[in-house]
Amino acid sequence: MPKQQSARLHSFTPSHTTLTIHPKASLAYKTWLKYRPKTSPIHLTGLDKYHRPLTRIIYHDKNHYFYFNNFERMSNVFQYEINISQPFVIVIGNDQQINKMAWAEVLRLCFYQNVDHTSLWNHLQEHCAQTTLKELMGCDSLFKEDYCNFAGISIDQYSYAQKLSNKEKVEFSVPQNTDWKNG
Amino acid sequence: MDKAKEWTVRNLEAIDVHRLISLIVPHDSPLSAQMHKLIFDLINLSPNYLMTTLNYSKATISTKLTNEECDTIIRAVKSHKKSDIWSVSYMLAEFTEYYRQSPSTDKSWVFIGKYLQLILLIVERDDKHINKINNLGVRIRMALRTNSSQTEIIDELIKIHTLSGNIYENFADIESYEQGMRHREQTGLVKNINLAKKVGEIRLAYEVVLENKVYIERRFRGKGQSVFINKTRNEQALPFTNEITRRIRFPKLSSDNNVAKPEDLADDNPLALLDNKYNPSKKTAKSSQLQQYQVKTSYLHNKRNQFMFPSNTRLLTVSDYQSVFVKLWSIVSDEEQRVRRVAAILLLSMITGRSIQNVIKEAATNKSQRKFLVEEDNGVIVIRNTINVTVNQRDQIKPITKSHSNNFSLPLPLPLSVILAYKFEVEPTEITQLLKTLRESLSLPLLSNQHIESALAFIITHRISEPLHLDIITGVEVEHSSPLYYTSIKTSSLFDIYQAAIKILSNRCFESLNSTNFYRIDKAQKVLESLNPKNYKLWQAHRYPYFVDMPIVASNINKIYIGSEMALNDQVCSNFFALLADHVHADKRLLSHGTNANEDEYIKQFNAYGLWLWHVIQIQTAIRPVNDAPGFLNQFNFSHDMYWVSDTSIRQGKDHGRLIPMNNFLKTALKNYINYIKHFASVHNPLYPDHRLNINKILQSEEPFLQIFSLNPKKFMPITPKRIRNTVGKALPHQDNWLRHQLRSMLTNEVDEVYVCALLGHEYADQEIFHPMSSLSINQYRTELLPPLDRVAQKLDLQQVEIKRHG
Repeated sequence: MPKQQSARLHSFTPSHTTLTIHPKASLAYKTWLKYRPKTSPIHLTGLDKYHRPLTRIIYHDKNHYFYFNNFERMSNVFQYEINISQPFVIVIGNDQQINKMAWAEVLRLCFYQNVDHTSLWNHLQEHCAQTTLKELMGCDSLFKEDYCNFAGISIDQYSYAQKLSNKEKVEFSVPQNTDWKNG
Repeated sequence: MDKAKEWTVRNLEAIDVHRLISLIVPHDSPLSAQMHKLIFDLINLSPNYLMTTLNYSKATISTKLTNEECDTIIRAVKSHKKSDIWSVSYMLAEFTEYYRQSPSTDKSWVFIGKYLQLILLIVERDDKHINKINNLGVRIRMALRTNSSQTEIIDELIKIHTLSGNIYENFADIESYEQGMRHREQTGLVKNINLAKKVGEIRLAYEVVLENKVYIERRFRGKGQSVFINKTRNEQALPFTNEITRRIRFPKLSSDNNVAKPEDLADDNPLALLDNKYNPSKKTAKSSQLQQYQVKTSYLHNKRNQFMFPSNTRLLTVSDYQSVFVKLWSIVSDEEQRVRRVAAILLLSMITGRSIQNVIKEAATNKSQRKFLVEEDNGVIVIRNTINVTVNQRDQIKPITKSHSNNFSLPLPLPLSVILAYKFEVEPTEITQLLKTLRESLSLPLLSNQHIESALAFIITHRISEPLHLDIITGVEVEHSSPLYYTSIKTSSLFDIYQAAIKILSNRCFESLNSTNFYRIDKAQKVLESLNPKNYKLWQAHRYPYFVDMPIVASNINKIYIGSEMALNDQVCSNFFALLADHVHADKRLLSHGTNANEDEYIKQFNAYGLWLWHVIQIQTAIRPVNDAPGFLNQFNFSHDMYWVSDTSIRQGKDHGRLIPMNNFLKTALKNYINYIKHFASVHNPLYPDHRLNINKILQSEEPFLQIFSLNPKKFMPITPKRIRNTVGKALPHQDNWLRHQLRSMLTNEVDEVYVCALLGHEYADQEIFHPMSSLSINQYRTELLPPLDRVAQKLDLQQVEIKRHG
């Protein structure tokens, strides 16, 4: 099959189209949601559709497409640019490729500030296939040293964060006593 | 016992019998020929029971119906839906099915023969009793059903008929069976399945035959026309008004509610006393004030007295009250004891605001048993005012409530307490006599005991304008003044108001000069000169000290606040809000989503935020903590700073409810929260597609605004007082509506009572601020209430909670 047919450019407004996460990417997407950095959105409403970033999507059925990476961008689109025409590349999906792409997106989170490294790494080890993880990180083993090396933090930093997260639990429920009475 | 009666057996020609049978087995009925023959055979099984067919003696059943025949009959009856007309065939078919095995001479067959004789005799009567045949058939059929509770009937009937061949004895047995059954059913010895009633139907049929009863037709009203309509009416029918009067729907008391029941009810549902005698002329009825027919006697008085129409004969002018007071005071000080006591009663009624009847009763009881003119520990007699509030039995709350008592005392002037030192009785005639004297000597022809009783009320309402203080000082029952439930009020303010009222009332009173000044003649002249009314200072100086500066009552000393036991100290309340705000952890930059919803800290934060906001809304609006409070988003109008709420279960609906101004603090808190939930939903919903926050429905006001995430079942639910109570738990075990008490108490004396009552929905009927006839503008209501509401927020040191998107 020629390559031109497997990908074509298309643009439409998200509010008139069903755009959902690809089922193969949903686990990675959930992980990403949990560890997503709290960032301010970069507003691209002023740009025209030829200059806005492209997102790859996969055709599912009539007016229903899947996306599988570019989560940050998509969430901004849904929140702020829902009524503006967006450029998309429609590709023919391959489940394995999609899965890798989605996890790559999650893996990228470790470069952000304030990311909970310990729990992110635990999560990755638990939910992402080891081969995928090894391939994406470009290493042969999956020890925390490998992760630290990959994320660019020192092992001390990592263990410090580990201790911190074990100790500090934020309490949201009101204490069940009347000690607060005197301020 | 007398000998059983003998039934004179009916002797019928065979042809007559055949005619009768053909009446109950019509020719078009299924297998009518066989059925006809069967019946004929059956009735001849027991001749001389009820009837005998002349010249016929064959007492056997020649042919029973076969299985197929029975089936055919039953199916035909069912498919034609003629179980009523063909009931005998139907019954016999079922009967044959059931008793096929027993020989035709068996007691069951004998019984059914007798039963058929009974039916035939009813048919022979040729009157409307023929309807009973259907019933008789039904009873047997039902009793034959397998597993039927009525099986006992047919067994009993067969037994009865075997015991005796005498119809009268059978009848007596059936009757006693019925009565026994009825007795057992009524006393609960057996489960009531109306068996007695069913036996009764059979008994009635026997009775008809035996006693030749005439059919009494029950008269039904056809087409809604009453049978009585033909009667001529003596009384004239007055056209009744079709104006809509107040509809009161009583609330379903929910078990979730921990608010005291009387508080909940009296809050909004004053006792309805119908003033039946009150019949206004048509013109009056159409006027604004009296449009409603459901008027309440006591409130009507109340209402009328609250208007200062010049023509109002129920009120005197202030100076009239003053002169009455002076006169009474001088009698109490100077006259002989008998007169003095009668005057004291009137005077006490004036300064306590209680009815004369009450005061008479009080004076006639022992000192230890008096209710409001009580003696304190140090022997001083005082006026004790008790507010009947809801008792707070929560030990943890008790030490931190604002008020620790529901009563306070007002001092009595010495001459009165001297009189009250002993109990005494006063005849109503003496009161009338004294009033008559007063009327004449003061030339007040209208003076009545009602004027005396309402003197204090008049002065506090019309001169001082403090209706709440009035209710407390004059000891109005809390059922008639719901604000009293909620108020905890500074004792000193009550004292001040009372002092001011007494000052006005006693304005013409001053110390008797006889005793003090007249013994020195040279000075007396001078004093008389200076007693010119223009010399105000001297007037004041000579007033009885009680009226100018009341003594302090010992029992009041430690009561800074009195009243509702629900409101907390401002400081403690402030700490509580700080605690709630603190636990939202709005400043935390990073929370963890955890591994599932139970551990998700963002959800916990959402709940903590909702909890805080719920409390903030309560303290700033004083709405009742009903389910789903504060309602939908569209009840908040941010451009007019108004919030519409209908928070009682009694007057629900779109046309009821009240408006509450929103102050800046509340507005900001709500706006922050709306922004927050929008963002929260954008993060939460993709993560938990199974239990989403329906942000769109909330914003479109299709779902209640404040929601809480519950873990069992896992979903967002509208916030309820029960949930709040469980979440707050032991941190503050309190009545659900305590914040209403808190705000009420914090607004008291800060702003005019009218507005506070409007805010809490405590206005008297037809005196509402937003009553169609009210001339008050919404804007004034808002501008009066907003500053004090802001002050409440300041006093409690409320801090906004705002969750930033990122650190």
